Amino acid sequence: MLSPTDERAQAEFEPTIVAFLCNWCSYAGADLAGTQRLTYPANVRVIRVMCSGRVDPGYVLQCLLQGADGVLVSGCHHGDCHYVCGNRIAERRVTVMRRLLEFVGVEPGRVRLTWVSGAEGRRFARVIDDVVRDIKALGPFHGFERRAS
Amino acid sequence: MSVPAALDRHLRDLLSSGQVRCVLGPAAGCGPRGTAHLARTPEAVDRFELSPLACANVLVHLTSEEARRDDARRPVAVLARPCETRMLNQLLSERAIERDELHVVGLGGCRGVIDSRKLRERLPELRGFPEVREEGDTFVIEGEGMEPVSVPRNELLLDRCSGCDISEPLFHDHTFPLADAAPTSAAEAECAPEPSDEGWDYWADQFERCIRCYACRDACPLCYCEDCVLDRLRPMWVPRSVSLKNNTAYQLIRVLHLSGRCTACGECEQACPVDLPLLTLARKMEQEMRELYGARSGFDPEGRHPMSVFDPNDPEGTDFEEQGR
Repeated sequence: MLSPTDERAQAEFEPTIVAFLCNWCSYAGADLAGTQRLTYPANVRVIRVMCSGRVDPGYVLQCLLQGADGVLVSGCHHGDCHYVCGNRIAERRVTVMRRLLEFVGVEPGRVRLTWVSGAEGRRFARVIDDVVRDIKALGPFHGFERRAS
Repeated sequence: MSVPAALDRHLRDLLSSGQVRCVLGPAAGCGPRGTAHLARTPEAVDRFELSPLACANVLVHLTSEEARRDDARRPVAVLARPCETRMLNQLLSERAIERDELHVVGLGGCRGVIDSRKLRERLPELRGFPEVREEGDTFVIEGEGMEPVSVPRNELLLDRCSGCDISEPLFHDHTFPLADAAPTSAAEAECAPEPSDEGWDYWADQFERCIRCYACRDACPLCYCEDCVLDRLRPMWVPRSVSLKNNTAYQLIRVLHLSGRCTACGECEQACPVDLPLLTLARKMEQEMRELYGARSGFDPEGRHPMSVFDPNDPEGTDFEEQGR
């Protein structure tokens, strides 16, 4: 008998991706993508945060723990942060988080960081396309459980 | 063997003159492992022990209630090996403790300490706290009712000690050389192997054994938060039941909270009752912080946490390239 994970893998795999978007740039970018009627995959679950620097690595871990296949953190471009340097702080945190995940054998590509400004609706749609495509290629995340042998 | 006479005299003077309220330092434990000792009276100085086996990181008690009890205006004296002065620097930079609360008695000429786990493996029949002497490139270990055994140094040294580049305290109020200290031989100066990437199957085997006793957290001198996220029920950051998934979350959160602060002292690994390779994780993170941001914890008492600052030249954290804009 196939386990639920295997069944999921057999069907066309649709990943669940949690996206933390900053209020000032990326969320506005997502909004613009919507008003421009751009299409992008429906795999993302958006969580609005005030700043990408507000995303604790613990949040990312929680998402992975509770069934997300990937996590996207998106903030303002360098120099555009509403809070001056929150995005640079996020950059360090996400980088370290990715290195740690890689070390314990989790593909670092499951945690992504991008910059999308409030004027870049098209870029937002492309980012989501890109992230969803990459995470589909990685397959379902084992959720820190043993892989079925 | 307790402490050299000059040091003994100094500590007694400190306590009897009332310059410090207590002295914190290593002592013999009840098994083949050191423990911490807090001396409040000159007589209690007798219990201190500086053998390479008495190496528990005593700084964890510095931020505890016991050391802070009564008369917080007078400093605490600490017997600190060079790596412990590094840890002290880190605590100072985080303002977990103030410089005027400390009287640092540095122990110079450190040649490394013994890993109690390696010792247990090598001499399983050992009972009680053995007498340890250093003779050239060997440790001579004399346990209760046992013939003295010579073991080459590099078989027993703690991983953090092989390749350690600080043999003198980074700062001190007084310094004393450790007894019969000699320069490190070339063979020992070679570094412990770089932490290697073993993959999820390896780490799943390790984390699965974790019993979530939290000894690694409690032994860590840098885990001094009174309100720890791991104890929180709302929100519950890490579910409390013991399972591979939850244990992994626990260890990853612990390591992340220490990244950029951890000095890889290895106390977590020494405290672990199920022998998880926690120092490997700690050393890996230390190495990453140095490679990515040139940050070395514990060398600058005024330094800021590398996760709270940035450098315009930081390596790129994004990997999305927009094509055909």
